[in-house]
Amino acid sequence: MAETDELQERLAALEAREEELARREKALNAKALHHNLYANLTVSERTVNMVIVACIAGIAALVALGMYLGRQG
Amino acid sequence: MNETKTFDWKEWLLSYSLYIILGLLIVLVVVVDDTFLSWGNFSNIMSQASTRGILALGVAGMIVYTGTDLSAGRILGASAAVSASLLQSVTYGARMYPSITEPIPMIVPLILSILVGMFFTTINAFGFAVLKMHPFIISLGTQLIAYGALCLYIDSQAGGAQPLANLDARYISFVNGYFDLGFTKLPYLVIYLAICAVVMWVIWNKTVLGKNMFAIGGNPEAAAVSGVNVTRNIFGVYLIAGVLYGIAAFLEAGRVQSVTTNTGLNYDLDAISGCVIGGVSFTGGVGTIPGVILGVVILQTINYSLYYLGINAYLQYIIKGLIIIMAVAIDVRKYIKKK
Repeated sequence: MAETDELQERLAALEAREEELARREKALNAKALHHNLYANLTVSERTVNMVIVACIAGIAALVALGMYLGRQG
Repeated sequence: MNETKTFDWKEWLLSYSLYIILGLLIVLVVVVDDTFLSWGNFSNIMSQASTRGILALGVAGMIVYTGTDLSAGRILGASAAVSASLLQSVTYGARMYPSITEPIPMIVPLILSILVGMFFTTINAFGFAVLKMHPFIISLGTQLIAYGALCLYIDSQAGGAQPLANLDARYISFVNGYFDLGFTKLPYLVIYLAICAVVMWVIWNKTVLGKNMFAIGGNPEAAAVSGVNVTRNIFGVYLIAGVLYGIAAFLEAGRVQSVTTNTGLNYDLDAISGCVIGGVSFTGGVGTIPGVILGVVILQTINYSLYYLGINAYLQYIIKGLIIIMAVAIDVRKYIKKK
């Protein structure tokens, strides 16, 4: 009986330790997400996609303009 | 139950847009001028990418730490000036140091160039690791300091500010020499880049410093809790970057055969964009050495293609700016998806 109690106590302690570690891991991950350059980014994926498409269009237009101007001398 | 994965072409196009642009540009150049696809041009591109590649290898470590270095180009300029001034031909009347009457061993200017690079990167490391300043701000300050030092140095010549030219023939052949492979030339510069890349690969992947660098970049608090000395590691990576800047400066001065106050201008942006194109993320803890080299070569190929198409140099600046914005947008996209 005493052995069962002791085992249960140890189990409870281990569970508490596990919870504590999970809490710390969560806190560290949260910090990790906040230390990089994009931490405060609130932009949506759709907006970023639009930026990429706009850049592609801009590059294509400038290359075409550059080639045209180059040929005009 | 009948789950079928359909190919998301929109996702694919957005993720690989930079590579697609590169491919389209090459196709366009080949249509306009089919001599573009030659071993000679490939050798030229690799030669031009070499010094920027070595610079990018240094900057990449800082980006892995979620930092960056806006001063890399100007540090390169200052270090290159030191190398070039000591390696001017001893028969050149207007040389900076008339007291040097015998050619000095090339290792001396190389070491001095490296020391100059390390001096400036130590300032950056101190600001970032000890004063906890944002790398953008501290490196912006260092950029101006390095530029000021470069201008003062070049202006201190007896004949006033003039390009540091007429370099020693030994130096020029050491940098611009090549192995003749028959079908093409293999420039020594490419070999120097390869050596630096291999050494950096070993440092990144096989040393404690490299492993700690990724740990700190991914999660500095977790790394510190695990017993990693964050400050010492940051100094280590910055000092290695200083060594690489010094080597790149030594080679760049010999490659261009002249150093002016404009030497190194915008090289930092080329290095940073090369890193981002090559997959080194501003979110930290992500990046590979082959990726950095590939990114720099891709950027140089785009530059070379624009030049081949006869596009105005000022328009090329705008196009390069758009490429950098696009590379960062692609990186942000990856971050949003991961989050």
